[in-house]
Amino acid sequence: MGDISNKTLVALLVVAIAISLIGTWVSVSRISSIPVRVTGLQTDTGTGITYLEIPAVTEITLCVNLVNFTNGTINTTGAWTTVYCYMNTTCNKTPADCGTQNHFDSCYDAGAKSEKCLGFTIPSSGFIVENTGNVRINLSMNSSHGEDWLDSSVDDGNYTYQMYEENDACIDSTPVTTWTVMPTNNPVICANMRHQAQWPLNNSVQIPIMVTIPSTLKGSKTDTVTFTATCLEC
Amino acid sequence: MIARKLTFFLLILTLFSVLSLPMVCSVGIGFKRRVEFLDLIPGNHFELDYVLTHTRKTSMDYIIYISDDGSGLNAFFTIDPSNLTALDHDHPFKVIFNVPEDVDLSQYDPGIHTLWIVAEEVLPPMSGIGARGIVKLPIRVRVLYDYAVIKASIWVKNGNVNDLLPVKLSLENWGRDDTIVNGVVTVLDSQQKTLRTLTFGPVEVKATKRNEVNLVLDTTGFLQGEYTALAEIYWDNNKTIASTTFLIGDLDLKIKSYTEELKAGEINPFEIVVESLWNNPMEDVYAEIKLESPDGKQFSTKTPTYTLDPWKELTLKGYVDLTEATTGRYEGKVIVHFDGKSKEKNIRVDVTSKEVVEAPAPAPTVLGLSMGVFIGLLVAIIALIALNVFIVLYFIRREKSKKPKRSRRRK
Repeated sequence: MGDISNKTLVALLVVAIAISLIGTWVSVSRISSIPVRVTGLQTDTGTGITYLEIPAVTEITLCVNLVNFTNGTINTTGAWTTVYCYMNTTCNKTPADCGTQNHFDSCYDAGAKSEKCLGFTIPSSGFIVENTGNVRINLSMNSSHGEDWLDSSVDDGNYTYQMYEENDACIDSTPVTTWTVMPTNNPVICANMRHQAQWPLNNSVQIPIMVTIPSTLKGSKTDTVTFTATCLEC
Repeated sequence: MIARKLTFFLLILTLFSVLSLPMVCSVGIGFKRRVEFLDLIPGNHFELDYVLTHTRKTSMDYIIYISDDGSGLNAFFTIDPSNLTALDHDHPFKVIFNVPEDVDLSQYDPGIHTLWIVAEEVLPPMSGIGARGIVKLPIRVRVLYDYAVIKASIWVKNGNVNDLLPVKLSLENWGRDDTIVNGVVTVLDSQQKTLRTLTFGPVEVKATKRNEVNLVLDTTGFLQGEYTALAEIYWDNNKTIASTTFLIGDLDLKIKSYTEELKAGEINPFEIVVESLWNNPMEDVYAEIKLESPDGKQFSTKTPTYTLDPWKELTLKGYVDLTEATTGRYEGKVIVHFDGKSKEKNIRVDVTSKEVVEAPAPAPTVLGLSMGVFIGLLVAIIALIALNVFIVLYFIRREKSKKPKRSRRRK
């Protein structure tokens, strides 16, 4: 094979460049003209309906049934004779799963304790009660001790609650968003409460707790809160 | 040594996990058959089946009982079983209602008493603030009166003009004596004018039993509309009243509403809501829509055909082509056809200009490509050309460097 002259090489170079340019141009033109298609898009949704004979069930589930601030002391240094320790539970916007995921969008979120509280633990949520039956209920709440629970012999403590609902779970009542004295007369706190069978995403309430402990109060304290579900469709 | 440390670590971890587990507990009562009330009658015995639904994740103790409403009627109930310990699954229980033969009924107030079936969780000892659940279901007991007391209700079937309509009276005796009932049913129009009176009786209604009276109402001459049936029931110098309303239909419908605003320059949906005034289904229901623009141009369309259920509302939907229309207030009419008849309504529709949404200014392009893509491609092409040039120059140089060697060999 004979040697290639410079002229031939330059000619080949020009041809190669021309072919590159033309090829690039054609490719780009073709690519830009290819229509964009979305594949795998579901165009219709079908719903399968299964009919079951389901008996009426009135049921509540206490997803969180313990509020424990654990142990602690109160820092009594200061100008006052009596000092107080204030603590409130977290109002958890998305507490752990309780059958269905709970969402309390209006919750205030983090709990807190005052600087006089030494030790103690802030619980990660208030009580959570879910209507897990298939009938609407009235939910009432009662404390075994009520507002005097944390009174010492000389000073008054405080024992209060708030109530938040999941997506309008309580059809005929409104949330309690100010700290309210724990009741002993069993009032309805969630009227006409929706149930899980029909409203799985709005059938829960959360009840954060706040306590105020006077430094003159000593010893271990326990209280029992009773949630009562009364069937409205029985 | 390592195994021992690992075991200790796992033990601590397990203990921590157990302490950290959220306590989830639930309580519920389920039933299949609902009983309206139980009669406090000597010798009456009734057993009702329920299910206690249990705590989901832990075993719990429960107690079940019937709450007292102050009447003392809970003494006639027993629960079997009433205590359930360490329950970790659903458990059936019975509510047994047992009235002795020698019961003294006079100590109970007549009427309906609502008691409650109560299931309570028994909370184990806890530190802090523990919560428990209680569920309550009503259970009703009827205490009969010493004398006959009639509870009445009336029902009249909807119909069409000139129909003969059934009228039913339900008469319940809540007393311990039999009685004889007479009565009159008055039919009133919407102006409270009496149109018909139907009398009945004498009808015997035995103690604790229910009797039914069937009458026929001739609606000849009635107009389409809503009527009231008022029953006055008499027994033993006592009187009670029951009433109900019913509808009389005519083969007619009401055009309730229609689309009042359309857009020029496009095809518009047009909806007409109609309501049946007839007690039977109407077949072949459709509407014609005719519109005339201020400059005299006419537009018309028809809806598909529908079936209209008795006394129900229905939306008839068609499409009006206004792509060539101008704006303004259009006059027109809607004609609804049904069962061989038709009903017209004059309409006015505002045709407004189509909202022109300005498209966002297109991004600058070169040869149909965005600027970024074009520059990228240009750089790539220049790089390719440079590579080509480099290769060619490399070969040219190599060719040149070969030539002197050959000449040396020739020498």
